[in-house]
Amino acid sequence: MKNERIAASFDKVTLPADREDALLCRILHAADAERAVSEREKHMNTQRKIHHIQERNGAVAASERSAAQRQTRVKRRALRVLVPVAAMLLVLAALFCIPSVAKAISGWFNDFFRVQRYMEGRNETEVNPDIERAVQTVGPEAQTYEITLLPDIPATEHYSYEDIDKLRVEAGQPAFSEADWAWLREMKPRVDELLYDGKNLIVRLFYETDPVPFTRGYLTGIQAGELACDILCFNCTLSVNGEKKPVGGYAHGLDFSKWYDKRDEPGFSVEDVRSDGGVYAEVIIDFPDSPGLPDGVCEAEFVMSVQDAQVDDMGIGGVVALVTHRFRFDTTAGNAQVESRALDACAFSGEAVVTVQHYGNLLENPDENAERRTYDMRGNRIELDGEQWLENRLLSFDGFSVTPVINVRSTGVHVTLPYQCPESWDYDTETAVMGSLVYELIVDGVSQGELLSQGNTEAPTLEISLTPTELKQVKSIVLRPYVNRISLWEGTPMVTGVRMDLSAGPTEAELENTQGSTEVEFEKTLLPGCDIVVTLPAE
Amino acid sequence: MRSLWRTNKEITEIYRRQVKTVFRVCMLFFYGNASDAEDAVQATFLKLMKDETRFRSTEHERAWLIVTAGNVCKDMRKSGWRTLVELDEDALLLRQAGPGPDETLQSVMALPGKYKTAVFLHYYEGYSAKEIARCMGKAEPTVRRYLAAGRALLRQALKEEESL
Repeated sequence: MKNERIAASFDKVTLPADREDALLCRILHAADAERAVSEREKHMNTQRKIHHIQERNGAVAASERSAAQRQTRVKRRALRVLVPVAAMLLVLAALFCIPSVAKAISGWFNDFFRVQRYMEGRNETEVNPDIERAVQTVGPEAQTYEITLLPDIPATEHYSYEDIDKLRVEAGQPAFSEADWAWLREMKPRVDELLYDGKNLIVRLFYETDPVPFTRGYLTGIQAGELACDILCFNCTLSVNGEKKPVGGYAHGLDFSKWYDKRDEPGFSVEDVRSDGGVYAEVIIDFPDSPGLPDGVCEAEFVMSVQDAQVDDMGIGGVVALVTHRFRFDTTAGNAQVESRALDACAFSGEAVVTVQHYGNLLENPDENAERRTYDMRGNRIELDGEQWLENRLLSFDGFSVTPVINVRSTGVHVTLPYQCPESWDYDTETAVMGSLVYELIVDGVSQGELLSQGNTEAPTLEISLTPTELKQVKSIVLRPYVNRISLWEGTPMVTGVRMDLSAGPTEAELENTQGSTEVEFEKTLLPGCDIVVTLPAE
Repeated sequence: MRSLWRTNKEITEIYRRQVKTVFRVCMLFFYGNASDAEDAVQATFLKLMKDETRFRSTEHERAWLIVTAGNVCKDMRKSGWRTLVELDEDALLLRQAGPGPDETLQSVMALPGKYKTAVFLHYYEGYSAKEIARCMGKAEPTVRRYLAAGRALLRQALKEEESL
């Protein structure tokens, strides 16, 4: 029941039109930033998962593979002369005889061979020869940079210097003063290295400057009144042979991983970071297609944003300067390392329980003004009625097959799995199966754990972190499929064949407590006899 | 099972429809501090971006946003987002400040957090106790208690029983 007096009072609370636009701009920028962070987290979680898997089986895997790996190991440049390889291996072999030491070493050992060392920050004592070959150093003659402080940044349709300065003041910070930020002009930025493997482009940038202000928020907290900065990728454009190539999502951020584990050690001080002489930032672009860029010389422009983290370390309000890097690199070598082959179709069979979720029935004549929002699994926007249910259904996999396509890159093996469904499967079943299938990676008979699927749902992609040199020592790679099903939904056990109606839905009723999230538990079932044998490239 | 975040276009569409309502809710929780309210509005729409709820109508959409905004504000206050004094002290300060430009509004702002959302939904949006209960995930009698308590506090603050 409305109350006129209260309603009249509330009506006076209004957001001015100019603030409405500015706030929307802020929200959309923050949304972009969160999406970028999410992409990065997704990527890093994948790497961590693979790392974790390797660590779990570390002692066994390392012992079994150590002899083969000895031949492939190349010492880091600085150590190449100082430590004879044979002597080091003897020490390692001796250490592996002692279980506790072997366990400790195994973590190091796996790190040694892990291609993601490059992505997560390099340890100077570790190297992967394939990665080393793939890394390109951009010569100083090919790169330029330009530093633009806030007042000189051209206004766009989304923001202007005045808008940003207003946000600074609203955040309780002083208005932008060129005198306070003039030190940024003294920075010496450069593209340190880049890696292009036909699918990913990883650009590592270095900013010669005092790194301490940039450590705040990474290695220490941010205290009021102290200088705290961050560097983000604001925009990047790539053109090959004069043709601009679209860049979709990218992950970006400063890289203090080298220092991260040391920050809790006694005696650590952020002053130690000064020995780096600056800060590293990374931008990682994962192209949807492979190769991501055509052969040729790529002209790149990366615009990096220096943020005042006291104002906002992610949003537009924190921008104090833009650093524009322009550089060139050749994509031909990265593309040439892509070895692609299609394997024979692998036919699945047998039965497993799959959780089928029905999101609603497709409306043939959707109301154009309807606000129901959903997508089909191919990303098309569709309109549905409100019928929703969950059902654990015993499903035959006869007639389901995948046709793996193997791509071997300098950074690992990518297995893409286009699939074919039996004609009897409806849309919900197909969606359920593709959302449920997971693969256990088995290398030389040893389980390496579950691989996360990436790529689009029509052709999921699995990444196996074995580089070409390492592959030469591997005898077999098998992907063993499992089906994940929901066993418990909001505390209610799922009974096979019994449909759980969600049309009335708990979503509204539990909004306050759950904010839309749902508590579920999963169970995993092996699909026996459906192993996918990944045929390795011939010598 | 696929998780998809809302696009900027979708956020913009919903924002244009609902931002005034969301802003009002946030202002209630932050005692008219527009800067904090805007931060809360931003956090609410970022939650919306990540949420997969498919709204059945604009009413459903608005109810979701109101409740989420209320929760966001409560969380921000709990996490010491701003150095606000405790709730009762806030209320006291507002009352001590005497009648402001809108005494009714100040009195609603001074209500305890759990009553504010219910009062807003009932007296401004015109929701019934049953509808509020569904939105807030509370039992209907609980909402009735919230409304009764909120109404009593407002009467006391305004000393004008006949108007409520």
